[in-house]
Amino acid sequence: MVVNGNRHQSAVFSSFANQFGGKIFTSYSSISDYFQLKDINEQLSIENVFLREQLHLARIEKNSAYFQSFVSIDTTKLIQGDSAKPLFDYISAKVVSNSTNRQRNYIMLNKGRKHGIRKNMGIIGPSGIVGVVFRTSEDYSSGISLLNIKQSISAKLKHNNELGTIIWDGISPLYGELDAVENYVPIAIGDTIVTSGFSHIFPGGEYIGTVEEIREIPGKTSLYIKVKFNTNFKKLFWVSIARNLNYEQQMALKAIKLEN
Amino acid sequence: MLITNIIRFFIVLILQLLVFNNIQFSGYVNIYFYVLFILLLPFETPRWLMLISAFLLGLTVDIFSHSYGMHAAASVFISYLRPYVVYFIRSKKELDVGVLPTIGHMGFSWFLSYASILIFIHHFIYFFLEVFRLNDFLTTFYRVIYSSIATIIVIIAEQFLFFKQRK
Repeated sequence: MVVNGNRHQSAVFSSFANQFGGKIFTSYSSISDYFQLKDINEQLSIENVFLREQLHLARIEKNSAYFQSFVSIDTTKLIQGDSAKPLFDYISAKVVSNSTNRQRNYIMLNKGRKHGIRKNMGIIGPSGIVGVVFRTSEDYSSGISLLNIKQSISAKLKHNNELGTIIWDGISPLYGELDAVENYVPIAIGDTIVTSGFSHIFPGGEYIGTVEEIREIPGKTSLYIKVKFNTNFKKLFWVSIARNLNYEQQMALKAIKLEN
Repeated sequence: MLITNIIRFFIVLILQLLVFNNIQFSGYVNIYFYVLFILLLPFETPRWLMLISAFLLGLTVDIFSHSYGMHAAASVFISYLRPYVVYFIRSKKELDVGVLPTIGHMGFSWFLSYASILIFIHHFIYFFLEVFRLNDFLTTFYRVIYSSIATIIVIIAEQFLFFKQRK
């Protein structure tokens, strides 16, 4: 309680805990890694196939007549201008400790300030988002997992861009909840849910999960939507950390308040 | 006796962090095996030493599981309550010097009631501090019950594995 209530103590304690805990967990996971090689390989190959499919689709799109017509008159350059440079880059990191059985689950990664990690970067697993970095030390960083009752992430339905918030009710590590979707929104079981891209933490369109169950709540205008997470939180080995390259600019803009 | 307890401190810590923290059934069953250290402290341990060692144990578990202060709070509370529980469930046998609170020395039924009371209180405090809200009271309460049962089973199994009959 002392630690969570005071800024200085919190920073000192968490940095110490991060660094010290990280070291112990790294040496532990360097042993346990060998037993998980099979799962790691399987995940990587599935992710490879997925990425290859996307690459293929992107190529088709680029060569299509529709896209070419834009290129020929150079409209894309006009519209995009300077912002054609990428908004995010990714840093690969290894999960050194992770839990799924608590109410507030955290995940520890083996990259820290030294590698350019800072607070509020998104953590993305091989099949969907995992969490958000909230504390860093020199060599390690801790993230709040999606499986944390205090976590909420801006999300949208892929097919109609309807916005909502992904939260977790603390019961099963397989399912979450999509909050704040009004009941007039057309939605069906099996619809894909992706990140909205409005949060400056995750790029838009990263997979979160699929709709599992829809229920109307009596007396409320929003729906109860149960979401099956794409990520298997019990088997997390390697993740990438999404680094927003315009973070400072966006934060500075946000900090400006309207006078009067 | 002191050495045994210091060694036990580290053994329960290592087992908790590297084994029991990785056992993740459904979210309802979390085993907090490290409570064993507090349960097995000798009866004549001075109060202050008991509180301080429980605090250090809890805090170390906290550091490694990102739960700042929750394990420490629960551990200190049960180590504070322990003498009262021992008084409350005292058996007919006199507590001689050198008697330990183990199955071997005190018998199965005494140990079962002693361990269940303290483990239940510890888990109750820990799980309610963890959610820190009274919504879904029953869900949290089930979590307390199931986890307590699991912890009690593991601790009793440990007692039988390392059984030492009183000479």
